[in-house]
Amino acid sequence: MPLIKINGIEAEVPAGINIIEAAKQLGIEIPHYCYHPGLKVVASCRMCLVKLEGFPKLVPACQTPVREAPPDRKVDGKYDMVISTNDEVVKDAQESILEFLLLNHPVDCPECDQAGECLLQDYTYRYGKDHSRFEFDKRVPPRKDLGPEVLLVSTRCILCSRCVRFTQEITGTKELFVKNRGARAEIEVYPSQSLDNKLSMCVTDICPVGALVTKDFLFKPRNWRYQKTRTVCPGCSVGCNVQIEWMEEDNRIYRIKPVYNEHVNQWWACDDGRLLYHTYEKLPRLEYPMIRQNGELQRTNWKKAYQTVIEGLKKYKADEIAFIGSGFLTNEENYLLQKLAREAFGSQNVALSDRVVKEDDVVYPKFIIKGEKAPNVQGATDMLKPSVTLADVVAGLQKGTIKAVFWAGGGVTAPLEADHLDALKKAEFLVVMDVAQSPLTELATIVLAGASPYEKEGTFTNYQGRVQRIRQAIMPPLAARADFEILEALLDLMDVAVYLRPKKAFDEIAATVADYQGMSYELLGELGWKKGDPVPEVSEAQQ
Amino acid sequence: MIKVKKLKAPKMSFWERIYLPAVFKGLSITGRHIPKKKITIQYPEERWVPRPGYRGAHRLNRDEHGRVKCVACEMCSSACPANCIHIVGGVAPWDDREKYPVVFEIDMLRCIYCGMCEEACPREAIELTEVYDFADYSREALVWDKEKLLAMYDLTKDHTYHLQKGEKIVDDMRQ
Repeated sequence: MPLIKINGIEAEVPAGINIIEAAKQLGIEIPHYCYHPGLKVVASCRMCLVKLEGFPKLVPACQTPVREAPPDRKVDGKYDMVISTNDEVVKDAQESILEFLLLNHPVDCPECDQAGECLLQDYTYRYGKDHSRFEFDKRVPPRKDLGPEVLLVSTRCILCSRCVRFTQEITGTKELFVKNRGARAEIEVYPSQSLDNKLSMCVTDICPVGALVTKDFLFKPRNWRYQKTRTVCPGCSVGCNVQIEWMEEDNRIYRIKPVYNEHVNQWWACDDGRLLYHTYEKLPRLEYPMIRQNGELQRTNWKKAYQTVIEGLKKYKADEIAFIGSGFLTNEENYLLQKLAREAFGSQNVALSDRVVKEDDVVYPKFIIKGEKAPNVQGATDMLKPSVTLADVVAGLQKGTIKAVFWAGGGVTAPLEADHLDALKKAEFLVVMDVAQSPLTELATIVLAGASPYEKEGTFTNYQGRVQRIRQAIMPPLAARADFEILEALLDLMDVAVYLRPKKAFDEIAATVADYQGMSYELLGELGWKKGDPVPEVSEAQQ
Repeated sequence: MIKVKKLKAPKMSFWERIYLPAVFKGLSITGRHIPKKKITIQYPEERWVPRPGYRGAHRLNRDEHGRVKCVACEMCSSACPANCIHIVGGVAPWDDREKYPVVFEIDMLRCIYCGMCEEACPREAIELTEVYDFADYSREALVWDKEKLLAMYDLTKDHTYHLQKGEKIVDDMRQ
């Protein structure tokens, strides 16, 4: 590996990575706009200029790979590269470039949604001049509506062309281009096209300034006011890592942004996943447990609901009860559900609900959106080990061999099929645990109000078999509870086991379920762990 | 163990017990003040006008077209140590700016009148005025909205608020 020296710090870094990445490994920041690790290098912003020993001029750090020098060309006889990022020449270049980029920038930070997470703001503060010598009128290019989700405020644009390269390389849809040249250059969408691909909002993430803004987040409260929770998007079985930005005072989500995970979504996330919280906000949510009395669902308390569920199910023989899990529930919840079925009631009728609208996968050159919209079908199958199918349960209901059904989760995304509805009408005792009112809850004897994936803890297993943690951001509405708590309480009342937290259930999964052997929340960490990957031995000192 | 020392009240002499010397001593101070100049302000007939820089009730300034100057950047509510400013931004109906406050509320009871909002404002849109007499009968009435704050601007823009209200102006209570 080449031996390099940056600002006097010596280090060996792998050959081939560029100087920005090499400096990052040493904890040195090199400011940059056009360079993005996920996109091709164009070296157009000139912000990352550094001094390289032996070169007559400053070189762009993004375009200069670290390489081994021939033995006779080594600096001081041993260094392959000697780089300076804090030399007076470099500082002077950085100041000049920032002054140049700010020539036509309106500096309307008070009105700009990017303020607070804007690289132009940050770098100007750290590397820039405190004033501009430009004394003419600033250019005012028009504001543009690029597509259904994205606005372009051209005045703020610094023409780094990250967005253009994104549509060329990641989505391959090529809607954007740079119009005109020199001082008249503008980002533009091709005539008769619009930025309407499914990843369009990613361009607002990679935009280093506030030029590209989402219509969804336009003029919402400032970005530093939110609580931030890292979790997994429940939008499809890809399981993109996302950050939920929410407020405690009104218990609402304001924005969802992707977070980097090299194994799953890299830097990106689709628009559907980002806007999914609106779907949950608009749902007629279940806010209390309810029991059907005289044909009407009446609000009740949890204690009474639990007792009614247990007393109701105990009236039937083991093989007359069916338990239906869902790909919308976490691994822990599905595990508890099958435990409730097999150990508490001795029933082997455990099925996985497949009532999900399956769309076609949307495939982009460097991103995939799965058509399987339930986030955890893999995990649910692993946990439930379904012994029957949903069709078997429906047939059993029609024949009268199954009389009671415990239906957990997933009732909101797809309309119930007519024959399912007919069959469920025949059920004598129907427990529905779900997040919102649906035709299913209309038939239910007891409704248990569950939580959305943004409101609970647990793990999802994505389509690749990667087990990832989801974390609670907001609270469930009113009296609704995380589904885990409901199942945990039922298991406790049946004297089967006490879990209290999803972590304990996951430890049991790690001990008993085949592919999950040896996993723990600590092992999953931020990036998750793929099923079947060898689990490192935990030394006794770590325990 | 904590040591406890019990103290007894000192014994008073005969003259101290009849209190009359102390009464005359007090009355003599009163007597000395009778011929002096009176400094009590007969509020509300007389009004005290605070010096410039006084931090009273807030106002939202208007620009030359009479529109609210505020662009809803939330700098004031971010700076506010009492968390009493609530702003909801929206798309401005005017061409010269992007954003304006749809809702701007200040909880005057929660406010500690520190003036940080005024200092944080990049548009000189919020200001503290010389108004100190805004007591009210309910908590709700003391959550001032955008209209009320703009009305405060109209009342105080010429620094004549107290002139309009009081018959007699006392410029400085230390005179």
